[in-house]
Amino acid sequence: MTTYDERTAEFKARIDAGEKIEAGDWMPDEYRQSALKFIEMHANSEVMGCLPEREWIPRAPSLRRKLSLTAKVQDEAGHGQILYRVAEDLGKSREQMFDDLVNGRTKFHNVFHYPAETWGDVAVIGWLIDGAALVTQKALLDCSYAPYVRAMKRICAEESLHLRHGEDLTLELVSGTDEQREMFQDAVNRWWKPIMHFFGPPSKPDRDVLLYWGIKTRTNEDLRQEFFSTYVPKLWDIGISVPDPDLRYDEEKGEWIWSDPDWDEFWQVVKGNGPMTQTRLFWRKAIWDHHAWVRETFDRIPAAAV
Amino acid sequence: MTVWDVLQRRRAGADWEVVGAVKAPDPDFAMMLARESLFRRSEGETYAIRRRGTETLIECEDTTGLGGVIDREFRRMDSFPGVGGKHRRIHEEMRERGLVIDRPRPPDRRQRRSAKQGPSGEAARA
Repeated sequence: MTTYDERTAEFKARIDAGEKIEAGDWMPDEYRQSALKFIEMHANSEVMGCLPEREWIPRAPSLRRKLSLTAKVQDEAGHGQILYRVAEDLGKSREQMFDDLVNGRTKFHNVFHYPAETWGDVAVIGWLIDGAALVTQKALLDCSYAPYVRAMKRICAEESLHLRHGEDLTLELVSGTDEQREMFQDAVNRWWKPIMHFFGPPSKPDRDVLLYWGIKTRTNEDLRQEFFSTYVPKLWDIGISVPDPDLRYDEEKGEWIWSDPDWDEFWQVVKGNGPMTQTRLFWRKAIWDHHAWVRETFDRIPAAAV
Repeated sequence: MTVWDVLQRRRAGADWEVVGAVKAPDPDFAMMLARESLFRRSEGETYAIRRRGTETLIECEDTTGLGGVIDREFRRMDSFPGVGGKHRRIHEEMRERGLVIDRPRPPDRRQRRSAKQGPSGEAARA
């Protein structure tokens, strides 16, 4: 008879050989819990990420921008739907996940704890935050959990579209009036620290359980370096500076040198003490409670006989 | 509530391919939810659902409008034409105004990719 440890070793060997794991496959508890926690947080972040942008739909400067932003927000909510479904197969109901989110028991991404103060913020979110997200999400296309990979294929395609939306907004602002350029520069200055936090502090790959199980395939630092290489030159090309006096590309080392942001602030945000955490959770909870009758109605529909 | 796997057929005659799943009380709801969450951008010529654990496919009977019809121009890349060209044009304008920040930068993506490849053209393995 095969022991739990032997099955786990066989499972790990499958992952190391590049095999993908399906929802119905046997998996060790540690893998299931790690994948669930990671995907649940991703789903939470998609639905919470709707809120800062949603605030700007009524204030969009033109009908075209309003439609474009509305379509993007709908996509983000859709990503949440898709990801909660993937997470559900790992053993936690959508209702429980949402209940944990709105009551502050689980987390969502640090960037969505900050205010979106101006239309310049909408451009930064669409281009640089979604750009950072796309760098990390493309790395997840190699994830060991097959249902997540299928979801990520779709999500990455849509995020690429969002990036165009954000870059288009950015270009309009930086080529506009001096006030518009300043608005965008100010937004970059305020969002730079949350963007650095987005990738997390440099971690030790040999201690990262997500890397061990192939749920994540690249380190935080590797992803941050790719973000720098992709976006910092583009910002410089349009005359936008980055508020990090130490940021430079070291040609000899072939890597970016950057200064550590305030990691204490990062940990405060992770603990749910960000500037907009309570306001955003309040709105999510209010909407969740307001629509309870829909869920109750659905629960009363008997399962279909097919 | 029942879990329904969602399958797509990219082109006529192509094989069905699982692209995700939805949770719904009956096939009508499942069809609607699948269309809204997975087929807003003409991802395939048609789609189907299958109650998880069974073999019977329920195909979409009416694919009219699959991919969105109301605001489709904001759901495709072609709604933002020439963004790359616009970026280059504004870069030149900023250069003329002396606003471009000229500092050392990494090789562009194409060069980075070829640097990762060995002399035989095969990607280097870590």
